[in-house]
Amino acid sequence: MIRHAIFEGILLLRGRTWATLSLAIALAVPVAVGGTALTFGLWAAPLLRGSGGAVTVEVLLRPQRAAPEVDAWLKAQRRKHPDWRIRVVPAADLSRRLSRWFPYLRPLLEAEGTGFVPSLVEVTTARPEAVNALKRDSGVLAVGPTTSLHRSLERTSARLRWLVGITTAILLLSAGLLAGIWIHLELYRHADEIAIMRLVGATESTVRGPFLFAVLVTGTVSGISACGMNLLFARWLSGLLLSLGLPAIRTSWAVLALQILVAVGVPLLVATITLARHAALEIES
Amino acid sequence: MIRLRGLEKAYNHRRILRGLDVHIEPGQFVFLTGHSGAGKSTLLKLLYAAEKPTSGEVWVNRMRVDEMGGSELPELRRTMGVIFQDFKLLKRKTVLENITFVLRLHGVATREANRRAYLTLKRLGLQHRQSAYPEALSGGEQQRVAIARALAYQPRLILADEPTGNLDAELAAELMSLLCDINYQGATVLVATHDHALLESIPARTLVLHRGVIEYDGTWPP
Repeated sequence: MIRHAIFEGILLLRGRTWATLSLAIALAVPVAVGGTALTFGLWAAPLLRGSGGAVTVEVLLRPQRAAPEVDAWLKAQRRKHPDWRIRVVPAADLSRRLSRWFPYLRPLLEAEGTGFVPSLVEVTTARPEAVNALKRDSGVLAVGPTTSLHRSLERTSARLRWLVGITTAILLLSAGLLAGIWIHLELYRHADEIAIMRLVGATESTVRGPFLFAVLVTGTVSGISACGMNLLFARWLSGLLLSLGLPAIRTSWAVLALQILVAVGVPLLVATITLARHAALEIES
Repeated sequence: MIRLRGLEKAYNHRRILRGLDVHIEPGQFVFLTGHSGAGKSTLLKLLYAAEKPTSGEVWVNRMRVDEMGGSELPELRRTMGVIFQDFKLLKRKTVLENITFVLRLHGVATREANRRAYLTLKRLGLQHRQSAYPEALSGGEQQRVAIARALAYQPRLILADEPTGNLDAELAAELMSLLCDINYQGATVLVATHDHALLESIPARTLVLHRGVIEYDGTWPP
């Protein structure tokens, strides 16, 4: 009967190509949104945990300063502010960031190397306002914003969490509903055949098999599409994050597997319920 | 094999069957006859559980049909071969597939199902139409496919609703001979018909339904 389910399921899909594609897209979108939000959340969580309430402020030193001078300045600051965590951003890293922020600098950076690039220092502290005092330091060219990117990220994540969660749930519900309507219409279209199958002794699994197979295929296509969307979005966002000095987003296999599971599971569940209800009504009537 | 006790069936307060009590022994060949609307098809539908009785009991193969739940129906229906008046062939399956589908439901392996289906079609002179779809067949051919489907798995009970309705006299005689053969091998056969020539062709027990009651029970002609 598996062969019957596959054969009849393919016929079902072929008979309703556009409706099937619409259903696949309707399912793929919420799964992709949910999966991407989860990927972003998994990426942001360790960053937010690691910040521990501290803020990182960027301090740009004057480019004319030689390396020993910079080292001396760093030592002095560490002595003066033992609570600060000071890190010098490698020149190559800063050069990469500059070429992303200001693409027109790329030829210059490639031609001149990192020699002319000023030193950038990251100061991590619980009292970012104290870093502002460095503006008066003669060796400092500029002090970056004292509001941490991590803190903004935290705020954004908290706001997005509910928004994305509710949106995903509503979209998934709609997609589930659409899957139910699709099954219902197909059942209506094949009502005669189903009735004949039952009359000649077909079991419910034989009757339901083709529908479940069709839904399984649609769900798998949706799941794969959602994974593709997630990976593409993660790639695009990674470029943006790298330019901000943040690590790239990596989509985990678990998230991809979960997306496929949800994309297949939701329509299968809806189909099972719809088919069971249909069988119950049929037998009752 | 079949036992009906006080069987009643009504549609919208119109009583079609009125307290039928019938007993058909295993291996019997029985005709069910009566005018159009007498309740022949309704009685057959009650036997294969396509309808529920208003009251009374329906027993088939020692199974209480009228109390059966949805999960038990496939098992009941697989114990009988039903020849439907309107053929009830699966439109999207070929003639051969219509028969193998039922054989596969009985757990027959694909190759064996194909072989048996072919042999049954050959017996009914339809082997050359095995790849055709039902819509491409004449009424008579469709009826023979429906018959082939009901006989292919050699059921112990055959219910036939006007099985010769679309067949010419020669084919009708052949079909009756086929049903007799099957009955001779031990199967119980119940044929609903209003064709008196058919009733006279075989000396078998005949139940005459009139206004929802069994008016006559014996060999034909009365």
